[in-house]
Amino acid sequence: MKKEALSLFGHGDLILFSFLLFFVTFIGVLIWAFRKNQVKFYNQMASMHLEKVKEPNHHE
Amino acid sequence: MKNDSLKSYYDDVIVRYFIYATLTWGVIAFIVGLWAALQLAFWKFNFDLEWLTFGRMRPLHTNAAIFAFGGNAIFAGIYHSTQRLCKTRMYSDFLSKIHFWGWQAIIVGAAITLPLGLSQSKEYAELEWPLDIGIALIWVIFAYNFFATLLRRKEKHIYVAIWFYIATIITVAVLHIVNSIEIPVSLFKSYPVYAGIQDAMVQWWYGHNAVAFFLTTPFLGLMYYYIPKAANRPVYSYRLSIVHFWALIFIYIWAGPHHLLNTSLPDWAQNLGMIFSVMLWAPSWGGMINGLLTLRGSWHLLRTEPVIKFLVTAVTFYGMSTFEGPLLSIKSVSALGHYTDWIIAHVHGGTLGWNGFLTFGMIYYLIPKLFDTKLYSKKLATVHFWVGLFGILTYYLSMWAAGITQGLMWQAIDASGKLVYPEFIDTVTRIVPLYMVRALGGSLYIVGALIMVYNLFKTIKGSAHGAIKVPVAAPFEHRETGEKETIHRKLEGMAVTFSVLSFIAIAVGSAIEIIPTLSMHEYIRTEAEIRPYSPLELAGRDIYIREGCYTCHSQMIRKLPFDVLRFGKASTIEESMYDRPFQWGSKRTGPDLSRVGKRYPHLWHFRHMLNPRDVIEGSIMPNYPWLYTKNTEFHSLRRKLSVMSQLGVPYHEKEVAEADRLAEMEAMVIANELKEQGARGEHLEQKEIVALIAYLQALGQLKK
Ligand code: HEC
Repeated sequence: MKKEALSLFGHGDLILFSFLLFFVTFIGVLIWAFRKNQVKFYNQMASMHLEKVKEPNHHE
Repeated sequence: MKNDSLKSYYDDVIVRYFIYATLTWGVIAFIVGLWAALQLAFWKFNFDLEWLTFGRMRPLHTNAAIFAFGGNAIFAGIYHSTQRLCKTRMYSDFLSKIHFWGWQAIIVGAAITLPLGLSQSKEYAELEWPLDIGIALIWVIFAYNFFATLLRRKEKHIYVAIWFYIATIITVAVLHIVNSIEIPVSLFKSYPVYAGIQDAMVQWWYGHNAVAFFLTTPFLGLMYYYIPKAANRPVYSYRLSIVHFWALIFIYIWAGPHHLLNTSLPDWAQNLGMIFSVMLWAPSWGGMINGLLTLRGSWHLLRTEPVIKFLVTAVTFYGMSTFEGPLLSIKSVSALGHYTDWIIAHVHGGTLGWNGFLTFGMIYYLIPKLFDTKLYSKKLATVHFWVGLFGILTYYLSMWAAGITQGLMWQAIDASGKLVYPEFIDTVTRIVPLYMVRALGGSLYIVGALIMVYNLFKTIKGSAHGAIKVPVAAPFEHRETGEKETIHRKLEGMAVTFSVLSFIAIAVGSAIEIIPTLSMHEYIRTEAEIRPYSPLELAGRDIYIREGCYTCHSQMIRKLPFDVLRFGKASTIEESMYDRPFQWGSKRTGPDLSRVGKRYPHLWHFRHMLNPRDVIEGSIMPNYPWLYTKNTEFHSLRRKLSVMSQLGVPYHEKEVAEADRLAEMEAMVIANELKEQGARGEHLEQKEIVALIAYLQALGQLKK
């Protein structure tokens, strides 16, 4: 049973299936990433690494 | 009390340790690479010492460059940036230390075992099983420490760099474990559970994704942290980084089969690999653009700041390599480039340019910060930059020219349908001068690295207060909104969900490619068509593996007219179905060997292996004199055959039980023939050379 299923699975269908899978994921991510009303959040995230740290003063 | 105060500082001790290790192993890895390169330009450079021959040096070089230099570099960056992005000290200093020392111990283990020839011969996964277990353990410790840090972070949101680290940690674990499933024969010898095409598929799924998830995703994480940090700019587009991340990890995992184009791998797998490799171009360039545009408005820094010079050039090389990679994944381009030095050029554009320069930029940025001082000399750093860049270009262009020249010579067919260059050696001697140029390029790169080491040493020496302790900063959220410590469960949930999603993204592609391949033996008729290796042939095969002959020889005749004309009928799946590990190879510095059996008399091999130039003028293959003095390990053959038969190779019980005696009898026959043909030597039948000849003569001759 598994053997037959696997022997059918393959070739063009597999490629098409994989590509569609990617396509759906990609569109999903796009929609998610470009949701409106997220601008402030993204700006904040884009400069997350920039926050000033306290001046180091202690030595090891 | 003491602990509490410790917690209010970042752990930068571990960061410095990893940086020092990066520098040390980096210089060693580069020098070993240069040494290997010199052997191709001047064959005598191994001094006839087995530990130094190309076949053993090359795995040492690749492992050192990837895992010792690259590995320590990403750990340094991850430990430094993760703490700052999470606004917390690492979860456990103790685990950090185990990670550090454990990793260095594995590297030392590799540096000892690989020159000794203890190798599985699977590229970038050569280390034998005890070290494989060590790697898995240390990786788990690293992962635990990292995720525990993530879960106790004070910052609500997870910055994009950390996503790349998460994907790295999860995927490398999966890759390493799946590719390393092997059955030990002895303390330092094992056979993989996969055979032939299955081993090839799993290995290149691993191999390619070692590039993807060890040399790309973590470095992209570093790029997303250190470029904006060094330029003091926000990331160009955070949205783009989200799309970049998901598209990249989803697509990358499929690309492995592009290492096996035109081979006996079924077409569906080849096409999948090709399509996804070409698609990979888009997210890669999206990431590159995002990195470069982060500098918009700060381009002047490129002129004045060596750190920015290194980082920007690194990202540019990333763009170049990720353009060239998809190009090489197109079947017709692969037909020309595969097995040639074009691939070596491609790889070094990526490693020297992208990984190397990003690492150098990061370290030039970090050391002054960690010691609260200025870089000793910006001028020297700029010299390093130019010397290094010139080195890379020399390396890249020479290997590119060598690869394309040799590829075209292999392909050339005249009007009468014959090969224009039927003698393989003619295609080798033509490019040897370019090997010399390449060695020069590598030397320049090393000179640059040494200048950096000196510069950093002076920087550290000259710092007024030595290493500093940096207090943990307050989280972003608190200052913005005045919120108190937020609901922890939710944060944890996010990190876990994210990790699970990343895992799914890489698991889908892996499963679709690998599961059908793993069940392939059910449809082919190996047993009816092919006989397993005889005990002596198997012993010879293990010598072939030990010596790393696969670093110069392929055993896969592609379905391409010029390959078939040169080497014989295209290789079939069945023919390597008893090969554990597979030996398809990835580089033809010498000719393909899959049908070399019976092409020459025993004596030819006997003379050739002792000194190839005796039979082929201008050969650059090493001498193998030790094979003529070392005795074949007959006593381990029973165990070897029994492991093979456990794995499904159809040996008779009797054969397994008498493996050593059978092998000795076979050896006697070959030794006698050798003597008749005029070979001299005491107790030839016991020597390794006889076992190796038995194996070479069996190649392509196993059809029933
Ligand atoms: C540094 C690269 C290199 C390594 C390592 C290497 N070879 Fe070679 N080999 C060559 C080159 C180049 C040739 C072509 C010139 C010649 O025949 O010597 C060659 C030719 C051969 C040939 C002749 C093939 C033919 O069809 O004429 C055999 C057999 C061979 N090598 C076996 C081995 C074995 C076995 C090992 C490992 C013990 C090995 N080689 C390791 C480079 C290498």
